[in-house]
Amino acid sequence: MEVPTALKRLIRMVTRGFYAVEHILVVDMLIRKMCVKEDDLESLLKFERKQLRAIIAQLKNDKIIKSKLKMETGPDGKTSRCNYYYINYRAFVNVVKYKLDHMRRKIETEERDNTSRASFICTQCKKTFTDLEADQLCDLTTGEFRCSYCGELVEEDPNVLPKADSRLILAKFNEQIEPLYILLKEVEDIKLPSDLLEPEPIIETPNGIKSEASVVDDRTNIFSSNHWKDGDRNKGINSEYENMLFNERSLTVKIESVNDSIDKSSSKESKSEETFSKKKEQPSWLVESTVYDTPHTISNPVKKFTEKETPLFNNSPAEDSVGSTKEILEALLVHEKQQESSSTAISAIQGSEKNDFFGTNGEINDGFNNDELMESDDEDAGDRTPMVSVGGQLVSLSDINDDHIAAMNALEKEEYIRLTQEVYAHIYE
Amino acid sequence: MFYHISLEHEIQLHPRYFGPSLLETVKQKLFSEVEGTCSGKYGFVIAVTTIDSIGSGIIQNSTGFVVYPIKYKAIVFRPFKGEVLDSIVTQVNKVGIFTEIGPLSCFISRHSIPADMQFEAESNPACYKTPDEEVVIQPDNEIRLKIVGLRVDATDIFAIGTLMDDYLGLS
Repeated sequence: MEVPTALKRLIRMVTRGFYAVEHILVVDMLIRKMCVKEDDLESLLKFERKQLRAIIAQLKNDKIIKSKLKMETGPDGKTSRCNYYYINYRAFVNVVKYKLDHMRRKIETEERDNTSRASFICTQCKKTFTDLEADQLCDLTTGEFRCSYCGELVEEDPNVLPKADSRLILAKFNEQIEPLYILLKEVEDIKLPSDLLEPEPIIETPNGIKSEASVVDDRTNIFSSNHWKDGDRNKGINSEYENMLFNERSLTVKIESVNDSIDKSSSKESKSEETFSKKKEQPSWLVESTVYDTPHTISNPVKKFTEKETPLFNNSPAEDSVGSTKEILEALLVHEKQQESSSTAISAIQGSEKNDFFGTNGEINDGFNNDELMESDDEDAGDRTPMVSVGGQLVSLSDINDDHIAAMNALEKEEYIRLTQEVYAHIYE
Repeated sequence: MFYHISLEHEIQLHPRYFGPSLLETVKQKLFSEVEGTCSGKYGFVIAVTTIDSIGSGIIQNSTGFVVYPIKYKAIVFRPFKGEVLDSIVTQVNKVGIFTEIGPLSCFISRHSIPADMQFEAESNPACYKTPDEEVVIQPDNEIRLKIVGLRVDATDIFAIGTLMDDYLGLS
């Protein structure tokens, strides 16, 4: 398997865009040869060792290339340490993404700083002001800018005039880096087997250890026979790695910014790797329209009430059924009263009161008359003083004292406040 | 941007208002105390639309004033960076243009005005105009601007805008 051309183009473009000629040569060699020994590089490129080391150090520092240390046994039996260099394409793509994001961020900060740069200065006390403080300076009657501290004339600071329009810089950056972004998008889904990411050094068996003299002959081979030979060899090994390719857990840097449509679309393509971050909770006025017809809600107090009610029961699933039914009944009773005072519940209570009345008096003959009397009295009383439920019991509004209020739950209290407000609103009518 | 949101407010009422139209007074007081104010978090409160609940009034033990917690819904105007808005020019001078977007005042620095527009101090009123006098910006003109910065205080918001973008300026 070969390294895809898009990846090769990307790395060539990056080095040509940001590095010196020497660096380009080293990287180009590594693209061709996959994994090269330091000595070979030196002889191939005809660089001085010192110069080569410096170039390699910089490339390594920028994480463009990687190195491997190998012990090698020479023909004379001596072991020597050799540095092999190669390009890890996956790491390289990540590095490019990371650096481009850094560049963009730097430009954006610069732009932001420009808006908050002090652009006005007092002629007297040298106090500086930013554009954001312009409202404090402007004297609306004369149209002049006056210092908020000493009252002297404020003028534009000639030293901090904006250099270039910062927005243009960002536009230029986007324009120039666009080909890179297109390539990055192209290589997004490419997965390389590990033999391409971490290539093994090629040990040329017949003339594996090259003498200075043999290098010249080898140079012709490098671009032709050797190169292809390696390709064949890799093909053989490939099947072995093919399984790894799929199981491989790869870490990919994903940089998403809101402004950057290119990045966004590219990341969309490879969703499989993304860990879905939980969506931020949206405020209610964004999720649903806040514009609804108000008359509907107002004219429908019943609906409003039940809406308020439901979460109360949902929140307490562990509650025993007796308690919950009691609470439902209670809520219903409170609601009944709202509509008509002579509800079944109230009449039931009245009925029980009547029974007590008979029981204590024991006067059955008079009781009948009393009963009628009572009933009318009760209804009148019910009209005048509404009942309020306190901890599940109905108490007349006029009998409510502080203890009752303390015993009320939130819902009952709300109802109590509403009722009292209603009652006192009508008191003068 | 405009939002319709639920807000809370506490009304303090003098005992002299205790009487027939107590709740009416509370409502009126809410309107006058809340509408037109500005908070850094929610922006300018434009109008109260509905009053959801007036809580139980609590009488303060030293003054006799009663405090009502009120829940209400209101339309608020909260400007954001990058937002494009229509504004009315209030003042033009050599450093830039002052505009008003309803309750919000906004300053456009001369560096954020297209370079071909020059300040004309001699003309009355002072204005910014292009050499061919095709575009003239002077007080009371309506211009479209983009907000590039906001200074948000606890009780005030101030904006700076730009005309350097597509479709901005005189409409």
